[in-house]
Amino acid sequence: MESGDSMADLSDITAKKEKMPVPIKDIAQIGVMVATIEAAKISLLFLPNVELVTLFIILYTLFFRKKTIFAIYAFVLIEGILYGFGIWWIMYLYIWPLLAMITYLCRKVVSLWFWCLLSATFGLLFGALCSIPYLFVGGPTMAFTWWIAGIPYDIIHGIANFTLCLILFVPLRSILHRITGQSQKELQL
Amino acid sequence: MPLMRQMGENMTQETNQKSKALKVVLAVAAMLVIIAGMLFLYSKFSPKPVVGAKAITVDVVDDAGTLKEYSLNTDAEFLKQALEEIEDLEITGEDSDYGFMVTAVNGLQAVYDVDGAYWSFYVNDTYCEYGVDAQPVYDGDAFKIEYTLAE
Repeated sequence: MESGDSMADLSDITAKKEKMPVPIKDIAQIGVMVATIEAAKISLLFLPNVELVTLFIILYTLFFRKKTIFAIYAFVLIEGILYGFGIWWIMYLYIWPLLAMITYLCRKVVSLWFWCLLSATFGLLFGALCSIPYLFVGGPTMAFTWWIAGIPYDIIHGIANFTLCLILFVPLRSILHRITGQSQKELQL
Repeated sequence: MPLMRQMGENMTQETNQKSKALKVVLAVAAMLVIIAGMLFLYSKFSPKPVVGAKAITVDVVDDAGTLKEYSLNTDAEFLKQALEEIEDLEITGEDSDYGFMVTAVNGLQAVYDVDGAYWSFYVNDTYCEYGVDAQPVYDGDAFKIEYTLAE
């Protein structure tokens, strides 16, 4: 009788598994991605405009492809809950997915320099991209002024992104390679 | 023939590597150009703090009637502080029960009891109602300090 129940439970689980719209493995992967991105963000909060989120999103997009977009929006939601849903939150809604999209489109590139330069460019243009909501709030002048005022921080952001990518891209990529078992092309310098 | 092929392959590899190195150099150079451009825009359009938001003029007329003109941008609230900010202007005086009394301007003394003269202060051609340390400073004010003989 017990054996029969167990079999029934097992078949229930199998049936449920088949009905799951998102596989459990994907949910777990997304959860880990969100947790690591958030932890990386919080761990470097004491250094203004030095962040690992860019690097993590690039790497996760290279390994987990479209799943990364779910992780990004979960991360953005957590950020909103933690720090409030201000105008900056609207910027986050498109700026990080944009990075993932660019990475996805360039996923076949195997040059380390390319990823370093993409990170740096993203950092340098962060303020310009973030100023877009101000176009609708206060017009082009307000957006331009807002962007100009933040240029020193954008430059720090760009240089920091370049440096962090140069140092951490290869080791983090090899860790992800080991965890996922995915074979990626050899990086070229 | 194999040797020639090998040499050809080596040359192709070398050219590829050079081309890649050139691309990296160009990309880094482009990045530096972007940074330079951003710095230029920042220096040109960034908000600058206003140093000395009030523009005033101070005319000094000595005992011979000679006029010396000064102009200043200042944040000073009162005239005494503004006068102290003018490099070429030397104001001497002493604190009294009625405030700061100016006794000499640019070394020229005018003490009523001793010289039978005093320093008169005007603002926009009107005699100042307050002492030098209580006279407010507004943007565009024209002050005059004049050696005046007692009548």
